[in-house]
Amino acid sequence: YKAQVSTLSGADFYQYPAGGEYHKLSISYRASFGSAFGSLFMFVVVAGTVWGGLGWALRVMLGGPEDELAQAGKA
Amino acid sequence: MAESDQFNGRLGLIFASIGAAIGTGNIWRFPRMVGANGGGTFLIPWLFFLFIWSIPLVIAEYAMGKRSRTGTVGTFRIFAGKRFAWMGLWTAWISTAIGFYYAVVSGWTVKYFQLGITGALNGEGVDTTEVWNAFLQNPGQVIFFQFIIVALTLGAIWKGAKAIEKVNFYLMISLFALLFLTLFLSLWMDLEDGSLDGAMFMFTVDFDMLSEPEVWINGLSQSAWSCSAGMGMCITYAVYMSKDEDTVLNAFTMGLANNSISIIAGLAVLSAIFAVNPDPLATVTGGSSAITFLALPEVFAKAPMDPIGPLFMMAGFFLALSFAAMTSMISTVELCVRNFVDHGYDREKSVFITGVAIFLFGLPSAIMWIKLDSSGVAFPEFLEVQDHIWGYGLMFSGLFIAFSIWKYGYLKWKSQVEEGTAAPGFSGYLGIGVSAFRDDFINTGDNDLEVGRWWDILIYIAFPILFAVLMISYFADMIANTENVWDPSNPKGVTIILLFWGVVAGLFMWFNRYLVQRPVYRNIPEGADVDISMLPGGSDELISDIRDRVDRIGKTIDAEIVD
Repeated sequence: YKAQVSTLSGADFYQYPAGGEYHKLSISYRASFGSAFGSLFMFVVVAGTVWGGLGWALRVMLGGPEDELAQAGKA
Repeated sequence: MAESDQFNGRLGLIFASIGAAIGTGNIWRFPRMVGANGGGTFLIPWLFFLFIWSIPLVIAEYAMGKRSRTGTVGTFRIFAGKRFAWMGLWTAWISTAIGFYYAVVSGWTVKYFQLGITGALNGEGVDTTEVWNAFLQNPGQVIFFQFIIVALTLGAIWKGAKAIEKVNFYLMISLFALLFLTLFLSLWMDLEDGSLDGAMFMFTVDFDMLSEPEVWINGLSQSAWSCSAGMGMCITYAVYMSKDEDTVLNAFTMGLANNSISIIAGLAVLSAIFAVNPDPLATVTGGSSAITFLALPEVFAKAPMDPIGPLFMMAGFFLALSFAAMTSMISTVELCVRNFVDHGYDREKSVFITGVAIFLFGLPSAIMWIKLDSSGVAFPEFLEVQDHIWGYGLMFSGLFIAFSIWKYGYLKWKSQVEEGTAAPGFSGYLGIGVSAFRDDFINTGDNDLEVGRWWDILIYIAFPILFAVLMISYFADMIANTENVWDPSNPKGVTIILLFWGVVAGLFMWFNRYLVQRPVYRNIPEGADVDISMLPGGSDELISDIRDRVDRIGKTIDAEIVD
């Protein structure tokens, strides 16, 4: 028997000749949209920069001990 | 005697600035840009330009507004000189012109909150396209919600800085809470199939796409628009800073908070779409901005814990979107009002007149040229034409800010060369001129963070290059992809943009001579260091402290008594 796999993006759509007798079995599958490790790493980088930076800025702004302000230093 | 107006404290300024920055661009444009530009790939340029473009410009704006203590017209009159007051008028005009149709768009978000809370989007067989079309093609409804937004905005800014601060505080806190609720429900939906597809897509980098210029240009434009950097909002809010307020740390906080909200909104939208849609990228990237009102209701209707979950998600998301839109409207209207108040007009009258103008001039965007596209979805063509004409005009506001900085540096170096205290030639200019603005207006001793040479490099080198890249790419893309692009009657062409820009700029340049004959009153807090004598427009006798302003009526009465 022959099998066909098609994707939602429909890059190459194959059609079997008309008039034949075929059994159709559909299995829904969607490939993952990315890599779990890569996305986790990127999340840590982006969230760390943005949320971490925001947390640090708010901490400095709302007033910490003098030595923390001194360590904030020059940008 | 008139008094200066200011925010109660640091957080007041931060919430107001974050409110100005956070808008529909964070919640609906950002997820679309992420989807269209390779997910995590897009985050790299977007984050890069936060630090290279947006934050440096916001620092400049805060510094200018804090020193001038006037809105955009007065600021450019002081910083660039009397001949360039029109630059401030351009900045105010572009923001106001965008406000005309932004009020209409904000009205849509309120309508969809109303639809969400009444369950009108959740039922079986609801056709979101039909709902959208029925709304957009009903002028009475669109105008009604536009009116609500304008009325609420006027109410929020009526009494000045303290009212703006309070409203932004409550709206921003509510927005964070609503977005987190939506995010929680979205992640729950996405987890139901055992994986977080949306989150994975949003943070996965396609390194091949990273080398495409379009991704970087889109990252730059998203950062610029989203932060409202170089658009005059921060100049306006800096007018209300207390005397020893930090400019640099506030700028970082504002930019990072803006991006934080984008990430939360992006995760919420993408997770929900990836959870239920078989072709999520087509959904996120296809179509016009109406995708927010077509695809998202369908997605949210499938939220868990039916019927409570879909109701919360729908109402929560669109309420958050309304709040974001409203806080941006507040800053848009305040930017315009501030300029009137600076020139001696009563605040309440200015607020009322600006509000009426925004409502009336927004009516064409609300009701004109509502057409159906090829897939039967209604779109407001007049509104889109307005966006097409004025959207990129905002970039010139940033250019004018940079020009003021460059001019100040050059004039200071030149005067020091004449005094014999600076070396002539390029090395002398590099030593004194390039850092002049930073030394005199940013690192003033009030800051928790001091700004180094990196800022000069960004303003003098990076900014003009990036500005040129943005404008060239925008027009090149339009020329390459638009039919009859040079036809003046083509509402999507180049000629119509250049015509409008040219006429408005020409009119403002002509009007400049009359503008500078009016006095300007600076909103100076008690004890603030606001010496402007070193600036090109600083010795203008018509510029004074608002506390020295005598009511016209009072002066007339006093004069009569004396006589």
